[in-house]
Amino acid sequence: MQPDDSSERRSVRARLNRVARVLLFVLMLYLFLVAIELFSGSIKMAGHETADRLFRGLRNPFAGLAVGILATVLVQSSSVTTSTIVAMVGSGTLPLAHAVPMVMGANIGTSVTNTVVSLGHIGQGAAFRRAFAGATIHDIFNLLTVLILLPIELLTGVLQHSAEWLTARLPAWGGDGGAFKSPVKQAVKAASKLVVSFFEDTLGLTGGWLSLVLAALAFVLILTSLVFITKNMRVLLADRIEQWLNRVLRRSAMLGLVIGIAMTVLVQSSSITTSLLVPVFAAGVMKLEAGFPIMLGANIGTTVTALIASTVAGPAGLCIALVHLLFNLAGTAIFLPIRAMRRLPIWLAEALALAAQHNRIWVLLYIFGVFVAAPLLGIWLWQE
Amino acid sequence: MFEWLLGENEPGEAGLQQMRAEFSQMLDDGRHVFCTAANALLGGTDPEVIREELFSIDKRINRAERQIRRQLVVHVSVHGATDISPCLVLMSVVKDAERVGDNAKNLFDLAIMAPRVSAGEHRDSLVGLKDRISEIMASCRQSFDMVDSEEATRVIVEAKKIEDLCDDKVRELVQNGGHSELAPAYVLAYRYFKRISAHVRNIASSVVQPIHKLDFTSKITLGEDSDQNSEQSEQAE
Repeated sequence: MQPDDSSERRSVRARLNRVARVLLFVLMLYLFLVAIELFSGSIKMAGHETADRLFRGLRNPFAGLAVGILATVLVQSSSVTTSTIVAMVGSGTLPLAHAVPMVMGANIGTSVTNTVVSLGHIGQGAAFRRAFAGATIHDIFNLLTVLILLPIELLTGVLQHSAEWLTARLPAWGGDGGAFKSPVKQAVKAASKLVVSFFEDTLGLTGGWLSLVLAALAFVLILTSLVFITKNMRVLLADRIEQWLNRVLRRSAMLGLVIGIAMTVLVQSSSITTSLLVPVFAAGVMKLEAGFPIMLGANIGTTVTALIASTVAGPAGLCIALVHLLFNLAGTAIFLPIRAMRRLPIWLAEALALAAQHNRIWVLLYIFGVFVAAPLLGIWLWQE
Repeated sequence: MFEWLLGENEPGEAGLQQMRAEFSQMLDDGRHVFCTAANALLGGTDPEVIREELFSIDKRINRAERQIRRQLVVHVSVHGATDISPCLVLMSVVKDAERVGDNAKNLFDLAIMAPRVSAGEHRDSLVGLKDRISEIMASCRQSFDMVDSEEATRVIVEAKKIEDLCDDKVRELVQNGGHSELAPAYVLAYRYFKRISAHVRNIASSVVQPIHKLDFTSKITLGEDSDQNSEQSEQAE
């Protein structure tokens, strides 16, 4: 039997642990914002000519889509990609119109993580089929949404215009102007200036080299801070996440959507939310119909990271962050409310998983087709 | 330090506590259905009066088993392999708790089929066994909740005595030719009692034994601590 003072000591330790993790979260969030500010500044330093040379190819929307997919697959995080895009757009060097397909690509690229997780069940028959379906449904939804919304966006610019309309009504959020000077933004700018001054004045770096070193450092800091944020928040919220998932196992779509949003906003990673579901699908404990709304919620929730980044990236940065949010909200509105539309990605995912269960070549065809061949085909077809 | 920063190896206490609480409720329900069914068999209660309640509680036990299994999958998905041992233990013991409910239903069916057991020559023996089994079920629940290996060892030893006694009674009935027309009913009753006792013993073994030795209790005796009991089991192998 456990003595009472030992359990009390454990309770005090647990509380201190939680406080320490909250402080770590705040510190990493600050570091993330400083990194965004630094990245944005470093791109500006490179000058418009350099930026134009770098981003010229992105006039092709399929190139932008491909870059978004590839970058996200490489860093295994749509949050890193979209935050970087926010910083680049905020710096004025990446035009907003070119960035829109990139954020769509980031949505597609992020689902490779849970596809890889599902491959851990390969060889387990029905468990693999369920896991693979659960992983690919996220991707299939993103692909279908891009198939519908990218042409509409290219023809009408509806997402961009809507985001611009919203941005104009949120001047205090990402704007430099206005009477209110955010203390957070001031603290972020101060830290960023210190870093720049260290490399410029102390180390004597200038021009292109300074820009390159700062950009690289900022990118590493974005990646590092997000890794620590997501891992830390996952631990801090693991018990709560477990409770929510238990609650949603056989409940309504709306509850799943809300839980998907909440989990992803708090943990700051859609990959963690969706990857957690893969073993649950594999075990047959959750059906695709119940998990699909959670995936949609994760897509919406992950846009918060870009919105947070936009607080230091100016109105243009806010605008692209809102495009990301509106894109995911629109996709959810298309595929969730009407049963026939909701069944489409589910049916496609189940069909693909069944084929993959019987012949693993379908796994390779799917990964190669979605993440390599389709973007390259689009680039070739759209050549100017 | 780096492990802490990356959030490695942090156990999921709240989820495990929730599942253990649900399992404890299963044990309480199991004891309730056993006592109810045994009372119906041995003359305390009209079976038709308790039928609905007994089947309803048995369904609740079955639902709890499925619920705990689902929660175990979610727990391991969220927390990783840190809590793998208690999760595997729970996966095993919920099966035993569910089997207690099933065997209690078998006792109830026997009460319907053989109502004259309540007036037969083995009634007193069965009543005595019923009381002993009810007691070890209560002790088992307590030992599981408090992780009390001494109490769990007492449960295991008492359960083995109950099972040996049931075997003796069955042997006696079979070898003496079963002249009574109630002999098959008595044999079944002792058999069901033995099975219930065995499942309680399995649950208690999860408190004492390492995970790979769950349900293996032949070398466990009273008067020695759980470490020595485990060592003896290791040496016996």
